Amino acid sequence: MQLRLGAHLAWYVPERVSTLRIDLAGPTPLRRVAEGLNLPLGEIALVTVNDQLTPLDTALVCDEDCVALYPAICAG
Amino acid sequence: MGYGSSGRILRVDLTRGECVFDQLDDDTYRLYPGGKALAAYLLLRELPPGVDALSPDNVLVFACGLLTGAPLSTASRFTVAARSPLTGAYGESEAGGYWGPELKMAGVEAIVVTGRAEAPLYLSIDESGVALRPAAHLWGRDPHDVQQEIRTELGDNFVRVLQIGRAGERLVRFAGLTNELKHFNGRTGMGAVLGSKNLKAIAVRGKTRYVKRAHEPAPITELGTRLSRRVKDQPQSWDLQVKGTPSLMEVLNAAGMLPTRNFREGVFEGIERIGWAAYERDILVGRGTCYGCAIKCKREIEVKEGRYAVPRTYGGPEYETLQGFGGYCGVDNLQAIAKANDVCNRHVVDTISTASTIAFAMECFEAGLIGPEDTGGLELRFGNTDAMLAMIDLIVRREGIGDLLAHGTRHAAAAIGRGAERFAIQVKGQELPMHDPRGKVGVGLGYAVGEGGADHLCAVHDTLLANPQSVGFKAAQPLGVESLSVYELGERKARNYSILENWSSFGKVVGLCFFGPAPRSFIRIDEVIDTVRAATGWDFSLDEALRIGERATNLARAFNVRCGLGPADDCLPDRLFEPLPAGPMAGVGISRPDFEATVQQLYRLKGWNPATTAPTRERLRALDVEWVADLLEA
Repeated sequence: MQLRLGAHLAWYVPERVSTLRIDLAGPTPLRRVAEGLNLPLGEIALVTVNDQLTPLDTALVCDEDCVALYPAICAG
Repeated sequence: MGYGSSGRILRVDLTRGECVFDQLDDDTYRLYPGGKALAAYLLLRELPPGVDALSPDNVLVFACGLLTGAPLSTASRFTVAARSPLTGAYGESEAGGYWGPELKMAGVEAIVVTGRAEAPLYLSIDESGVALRPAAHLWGRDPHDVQQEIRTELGDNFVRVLQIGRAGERLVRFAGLTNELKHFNGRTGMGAVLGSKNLKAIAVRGKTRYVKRAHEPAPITELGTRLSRRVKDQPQSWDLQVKGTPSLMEVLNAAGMLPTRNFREGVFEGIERIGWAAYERDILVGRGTCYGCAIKCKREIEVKEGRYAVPRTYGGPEYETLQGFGGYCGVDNLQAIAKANDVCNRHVVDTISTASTIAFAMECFEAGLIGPEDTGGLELRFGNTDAMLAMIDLIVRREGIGDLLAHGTRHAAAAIGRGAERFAIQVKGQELPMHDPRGKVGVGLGYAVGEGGADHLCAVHDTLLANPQSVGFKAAQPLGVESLSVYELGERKARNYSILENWSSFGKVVGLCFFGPAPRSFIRIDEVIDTVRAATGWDFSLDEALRIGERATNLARAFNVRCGLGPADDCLPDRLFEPLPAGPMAGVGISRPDFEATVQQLYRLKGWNPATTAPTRERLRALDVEWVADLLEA
């Protein structure tokens, strides 16, 4: 699947990249994908799967999905 | 005088052409140690109510923070304050850059300007003296040329120049100030106050480093070194360094709360063309910073050729500008947005109010309240890029409808009438920043009760505290705040807001940028307190810090009460109580009864009389400023 990490979530992954390709064998809980990347779940405020807002805890994702994770963020 | 400050206040009477120094005493310094607190204190004591903001009798204050110029990241801010020509209320605007630290190094904590010069002048300050110099030859010129000319005249290329542009000279009511060409006191129209006084610029050169006046320099320099290393090791400061504020674009759009087309919508269909990825790919050429700051959140941009060519001179658009001239005006052309930013910065006019005023006019045009006969033939519709750019020029030149819009949306709506008020998205006369409180209601509290009108920096946003496991919430724990939903209103939200407002207000007192202290960023709360202790030698605590922040807010509130403001001014535009029509937040609005009840709860928590919003004598006594109660009752 295509994974996009918004704002400072990219800080948590190797190379600190904002977009990653992750191969999935079948439907997978997104929460497990996030844990596998060592993303702190407390920092994930917003999830979209194929541009639809989705709760992290119930999201199942497939290899062809486009997923974006965003943290809580403040102004400036 | 104690440590951390020279205590010197420069008083400039432009009518008489006199400059004299005054000295703060230790007790006054401890109560109002700089920035917002010192500015509000001086204004409240010295500016009688009823004075027109653009008259010679308005008092204009420039105040360094207690930590301004300290050798650590984000300690560069200073305050400019006066009665605002945009709101008629307390006007205040902070900026970073280099001018504030330079003023502190020149041994000046604050400047109080009164009167009006007969002809344009600029003020020069260094450690050997002060002078008022002719500036008629600088009037009407680009900031870059003005800065160079002043440096040449003073024979010093390291002089820091704070100046107004054409917008301030022409009294555009949301004109700002700029220092080093890329750092702006944007909000509340302080540039017009300088323009009304014929004060073009203040040039400063100082040589006495901050640590020379600190009680204990070592902990401050050690923290500065640690912070320089920490920037990349902390996610929020890393994001600010790598992407800067444009990083907000896609997050807010994905959440469905990116203010679009004058707050009518929360999703912008052109996000891919103006978001961070496009910004980085198409216009970014470097990163800039403020005095001593390792974050480097400023973007440097360039558009090399074409009709929207932009040189690197005046910096790149921040998030507010990017979305203001982007989705807020329905524009998805990044180069044109960069051009709008460049034009505003060249004229030194607030990009938030300028973009918002144009979006207001676009909605009026589409609703048939104004037509081509009013706009000089421009089809002023959302998405019309060239009409948007033309309108900036008309506002700054005060030509045609631009003259009306130069007063801001509240004034323009009243003049246009026929229901135009519903399109004026402002509080107390100041236009809303690019944050939709329908998705973070605490921001709405700040918009409503903020003494300067709608301001997104009154307090840290609700989003940071929504998850108890988040970095932001954990960092905020010393403040005693709760983790609450972004949508929750009521007593607990009022309490959270009150605490966070006091903390942010304290940041403006000491001169730390919003991007420094936790919970927004990477300086722990205990480190801020320890730094004030090291700078001053005071037995200082977080409790005293919050009281200083609260005291400053109460002084500004008292100023507003004396100007005739009351509960009716602490409100939100009607549009924000309407649900968003589409996107992830479709159907979400703010409950008006719940919001108004929360404002009442906030008054009670703050010790403000709900009938007048004036701080009670008891509260003022508790904050050691009972003299303010005497003033309010006089």
